[in-house]
Amino acid sequence: MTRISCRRAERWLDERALGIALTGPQATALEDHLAGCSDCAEREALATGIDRAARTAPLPGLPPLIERRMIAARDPALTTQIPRTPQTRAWIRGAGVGLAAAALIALAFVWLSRPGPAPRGVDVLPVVAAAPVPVSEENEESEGAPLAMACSEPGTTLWISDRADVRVLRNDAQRARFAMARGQVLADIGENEPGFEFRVETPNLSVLARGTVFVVEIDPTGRESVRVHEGIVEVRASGAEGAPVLLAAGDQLAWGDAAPTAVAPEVTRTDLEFAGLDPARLEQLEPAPQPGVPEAPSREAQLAVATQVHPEPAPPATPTATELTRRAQDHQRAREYDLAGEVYRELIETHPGSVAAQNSRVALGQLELGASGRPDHALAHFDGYLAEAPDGALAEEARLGRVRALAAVGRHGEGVAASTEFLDRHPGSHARAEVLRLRGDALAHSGQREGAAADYRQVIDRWPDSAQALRAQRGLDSLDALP
Amino acid sequence: MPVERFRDQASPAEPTADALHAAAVAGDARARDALAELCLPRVRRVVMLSVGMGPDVDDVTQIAMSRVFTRLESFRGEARFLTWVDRVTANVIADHYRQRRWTVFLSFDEEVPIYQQIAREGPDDELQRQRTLERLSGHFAKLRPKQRLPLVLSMVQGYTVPEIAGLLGLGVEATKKRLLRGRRQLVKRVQRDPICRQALLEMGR
Repeated sequence: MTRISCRRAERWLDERALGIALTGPQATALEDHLAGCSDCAEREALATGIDRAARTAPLPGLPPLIERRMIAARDPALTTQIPRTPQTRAWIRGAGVGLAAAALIALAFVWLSRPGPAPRGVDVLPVVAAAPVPVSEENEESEGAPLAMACSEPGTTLWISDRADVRVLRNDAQRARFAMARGQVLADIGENEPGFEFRVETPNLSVLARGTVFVVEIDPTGRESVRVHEGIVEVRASGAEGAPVLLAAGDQLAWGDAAPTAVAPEVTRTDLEFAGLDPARLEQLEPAPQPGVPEAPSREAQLAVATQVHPEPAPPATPTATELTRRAQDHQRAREYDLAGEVYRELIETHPGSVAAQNSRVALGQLELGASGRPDHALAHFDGYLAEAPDGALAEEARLGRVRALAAVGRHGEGVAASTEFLDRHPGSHARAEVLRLRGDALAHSGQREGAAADYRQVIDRWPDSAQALRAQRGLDSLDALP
Repeated sequence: MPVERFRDQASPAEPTADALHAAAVAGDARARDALAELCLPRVRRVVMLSVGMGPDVDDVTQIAMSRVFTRLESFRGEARFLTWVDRVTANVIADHYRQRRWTVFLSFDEEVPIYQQIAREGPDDELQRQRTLERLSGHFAKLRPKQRLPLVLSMVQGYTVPEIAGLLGLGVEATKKRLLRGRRQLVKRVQRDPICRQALLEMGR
């Protein structure tokens, strides 16, 4: 009898499941192994269970409306053909890779000839403002040096660790978007133009900066985490529509964690050393201000975490704004929306005029709009925020919330104006497609068919194959059906 | 333990689909409806496992269905009709991956209720299996797209390695490598998820 290892048994089991025939002796050895190895037998049962579930488990029911939509797709007369995404030809991809390589060399040259302190700490490849680099298409499994280079607004730096896999998805005046598959990046976001969006995406997380210093890491086990050293970032699950988690300075959050936790000081130091920042910037970012000595106001103080940076002079019994924000977010994560709402209201009452209180209005508005289903209440909160902080860190969210709330309450005339204001003030927003489509809806309800059709067509042309394009197409169809 | 392959012969639905396609192209509206109802669950299952549970499942399914039915006449019968449908669906999913690269459609908000519902709903077998499938789709969604789609085609539709290579325009060896890696990672992920593991072990025994 031939004895085989569990590893070999696992491989043969997988090959057999894929329909790859084993030889007679292999099959016998495998069966013998399974008879004597409970771990492998269980793995095989699990793999069989996965196969069966994938193939035969009942699908979740389709809501009747969606089912009708799906079945209606059979009839070309009922649906407009969705434009096909242009396929990248192999030679274009090759040219892209060539350009990327050339740009890589150019950037390396720029970096090597750059004066200033050399990076210290772990191996890093700092990348500073330079010309945009095309995104490579097929390099997911490459090992070694970073594959994509970053460039950004002046004053903004993305530090990429050795053996990281980071790509530039977009890099222009409105938006910088990076996708990372492994490794570590530290982003130091400078004073950017209003509306500039800086985002790092991991397989599970989408991290939006709002003037800040933060680290995104995917460790060798695949654990994805975000640590904030300065300012505030907004983290959401990739592709999720729900409310984001706001992380303040000193917070960290890993994918799968129930709540943010505090960043340990030694981790902070390691992160900062990792980036090889110049000493002046390092000093600026070193944590742990002296107790009782208030710091000088900074631009970060304008953000939601102001209360963390400046200890509240309130008596110890009164929760600080940061504590209240955390508590509200905990309730939100536990889906205790009413309790979350109460805490946000308490924060607004007990810390009037603070940035945290302003931001609570936006959070409260999002809660009212989503979980509570009270768009009229939501509207009041968004209006309240914008009255206090028309250019605040969450002004984009507040204006977006206003557009959605106005659509929900059916105030279409105001909805058109709010959408137009949003589009004018936030030209780089990720929500442009939705707002344009909502403006189309509002115009259609107001009887302005031509304007509505123009907005719908713009959505379909600019974001083909998106969910908003489908909704815009339905809007366009319903316009045609009107008398 | 017997080898479980389920596509050694043509699926029983395939001659029906081929006949319905011929009738639909000839102008039979009822055949067209029947074909749509036949294709919808097939397309939706592949999309759900390839894209993950989330808001895009319905849209991607609709795009795939639209593409199949707007190009119905272009199918010339070189393969079985449902194989062609799978190829079209795979193309739509690949387009979707290209647009939403690096994203996974499983949110914090969706993770919790599935756990809770499995725990709460107990012995209701059909619902339990449905929830398990939803949870399993979350584990599929964590795989790399280039491993995910071949694996879904293998597990759901029972295609062999060369068939998947042909469908996706890949080499056979590369496809086999992706399938083996994807399968190994998927099983590992499920092993770390106690609820899903328990439910799937029961289904596998």
